Amino acid sequence: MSHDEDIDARLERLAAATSSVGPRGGFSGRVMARINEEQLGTLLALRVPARRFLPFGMLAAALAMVWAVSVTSQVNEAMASSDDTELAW
Amino acid sequence: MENLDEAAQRVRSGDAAAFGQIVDATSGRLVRLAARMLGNVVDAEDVVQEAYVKAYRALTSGEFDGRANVSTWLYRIVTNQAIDAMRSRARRPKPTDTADESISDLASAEQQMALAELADFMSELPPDQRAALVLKSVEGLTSPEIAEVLQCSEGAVEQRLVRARAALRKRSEAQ
Repeated sequence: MSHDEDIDARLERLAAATSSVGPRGGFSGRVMARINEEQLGTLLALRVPARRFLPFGMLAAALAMVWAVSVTSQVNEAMASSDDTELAW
Repeated sequence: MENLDEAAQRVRSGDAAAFGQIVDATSGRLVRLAARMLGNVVDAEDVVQEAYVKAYRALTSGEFDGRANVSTWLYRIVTNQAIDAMRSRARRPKPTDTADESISDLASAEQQMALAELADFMSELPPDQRAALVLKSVEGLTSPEIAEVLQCSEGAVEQRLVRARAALRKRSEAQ
């Protein structure tokens, strides 16, 4: 038990002796600079793969446009023929 | 602590500047914890900085769901990061006499000596036992709090403390 008391007493003394240990001045600023780098890195990491998919995106957009035009003309035709039907009736 | 939770909530909703409030409010205590585990302020700052980066990633990615207390959560990240640093330090050779020049302006000579003595006193302990002992006998946490930080049962905490004390007792008997 006396050894345990020695251990506790020593740790207690060292806890008191280190109670005012803290970071250097400007530590918060350095951390926030690192966080800003992290944010920038995330944005760049997103941009690089996005650029790789750009041709596929453009192709998909062109196909969507063709599809939209074709659907629109089908709708127009259908409406035109229904108008005809209505007139004939 | 309510302010910390609010700041964390703001970071989660995209306000990166709110993270600065978390850093300002917690860095003193976290660097002290890491320094007590690692034995010097330089390594402690590195560990805490990396811990903050991990915390920031977890907040912005939604990995941290806000259910845990922010300060306990940060304590946990720093403790784990310090344990990893101790393990990697144990695997590589010790540097020779390079520490003193870089740390001279960081703390008083008494504080540096106390940190060095603490590190030397616990140098033979495995990192997990060292962490448990620092959290209990130096930081003054209760066993349930330590269990939450180390993410283990209270029984496991007590077991680590018993083993750590036994190893320190054996060492002092041998001297």
